Amino acid sequence: MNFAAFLENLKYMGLGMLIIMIVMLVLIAAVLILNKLTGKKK
Amino acid sequence: MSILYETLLQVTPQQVVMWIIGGVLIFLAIKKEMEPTLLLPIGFGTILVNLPFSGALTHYRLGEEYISLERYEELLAQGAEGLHVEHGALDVLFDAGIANELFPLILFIGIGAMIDFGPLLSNPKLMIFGAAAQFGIFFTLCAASLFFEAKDAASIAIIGAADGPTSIVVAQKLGSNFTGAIMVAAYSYMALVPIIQPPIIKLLTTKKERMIRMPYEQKEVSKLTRILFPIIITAVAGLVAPASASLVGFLMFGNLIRECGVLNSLSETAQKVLANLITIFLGITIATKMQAEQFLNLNTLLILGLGLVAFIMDTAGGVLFAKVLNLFLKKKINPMIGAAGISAFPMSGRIVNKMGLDEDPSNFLLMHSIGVNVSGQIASVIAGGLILNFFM
Repeated sequence: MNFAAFLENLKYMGLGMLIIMIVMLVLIAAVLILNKLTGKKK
Repeated sequence: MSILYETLLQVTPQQVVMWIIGGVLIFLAIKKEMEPTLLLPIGFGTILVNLPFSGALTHYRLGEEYISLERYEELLAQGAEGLHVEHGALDVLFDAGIANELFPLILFIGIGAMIDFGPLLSNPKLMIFGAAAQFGIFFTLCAASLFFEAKDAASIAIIGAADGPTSIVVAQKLGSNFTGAIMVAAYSYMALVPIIQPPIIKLLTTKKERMIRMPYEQKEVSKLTRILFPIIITAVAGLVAPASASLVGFLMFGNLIRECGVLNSLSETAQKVLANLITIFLGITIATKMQAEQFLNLNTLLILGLGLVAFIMDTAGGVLFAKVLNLFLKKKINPMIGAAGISAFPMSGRIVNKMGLDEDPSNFLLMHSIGVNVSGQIASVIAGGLILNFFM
């Protein structure tokens, strides 16, 4: 078992989750702004 | 008669095992209706490629003798005479559509045209759960790296994307040796989501949490938002993870065709004819990776196990993230919707809704869970791109 690779990939786990979260937060902000500018409540 | 005997005598026990595996896949596809559009072609193709000297595969010969590709290349370099290549249709299709990732990407146009982002756009905050439920991919990356080298570990981890085309693209781009096993694991577990997810969700939530109501306030989403959304995602994902540009781009191109309102006939073609056509070729072509010598080994079992871990940890990641958010929110979220971020669309969203109804027959979570489910589709593709960026 390659524990060195496991530890190395923990870094990618943290980085990957962080980047996905940031991307999704950017998208949320973009859609909220778009909805604010163009949307109407029924 | 001697020709018949010669072929029969070449059948190996491993090939017989592969025929049985092919038969099981066909049985599951027809009798249990488990992802039949892919498991049936893969099952049939598995039998096809495991016939001795199958004409569906490319063979290399030195005179009358069959030789391996490596030996062929070695002899070719030495300038040997009498070398022949007999091209097989499945290998030709593989080179034309999977080795260069063309089939899965074209299929993404059809999938994009099928997705309605409406529930997500009317409640965009749900998108964050799609991100949380990708935890299984990265967890499995770490777990798989204990046993496999980096490119294979990353390819195995992407089974957790619960998305066949993404798995194929990542495995091919990284040059994994286990594409066949990865595909079987990805599609089998996608079909098994109704069996895998409920026990994990129940284990991680209390009855009280499963009964949390989330009233749905329907909001109109403007056409402009629907049109700009796929363009914005493509630009953002492409800037953050350039390797995801093709994955995200083709998916969102399909969605743009759907939402633009002036290409209805193209949208319909992408959703039906194009998607069906590519699915037929994709399933049977993937079977080229189901040859006995590549598939029958302990690594395949390990990959199937790690694939299951990926699905379990995706589910757990989504549910636990919702529970953590609930610590800070006044208006509580039903943590079950976090599990729908796994991307197996729309099955996962429906399961969460059904579990909510089982606890309280008047608690409808469908619009929320489908919104999360769609966001999982987006997040899983971005995760695929990130994995490529990290390991290419």
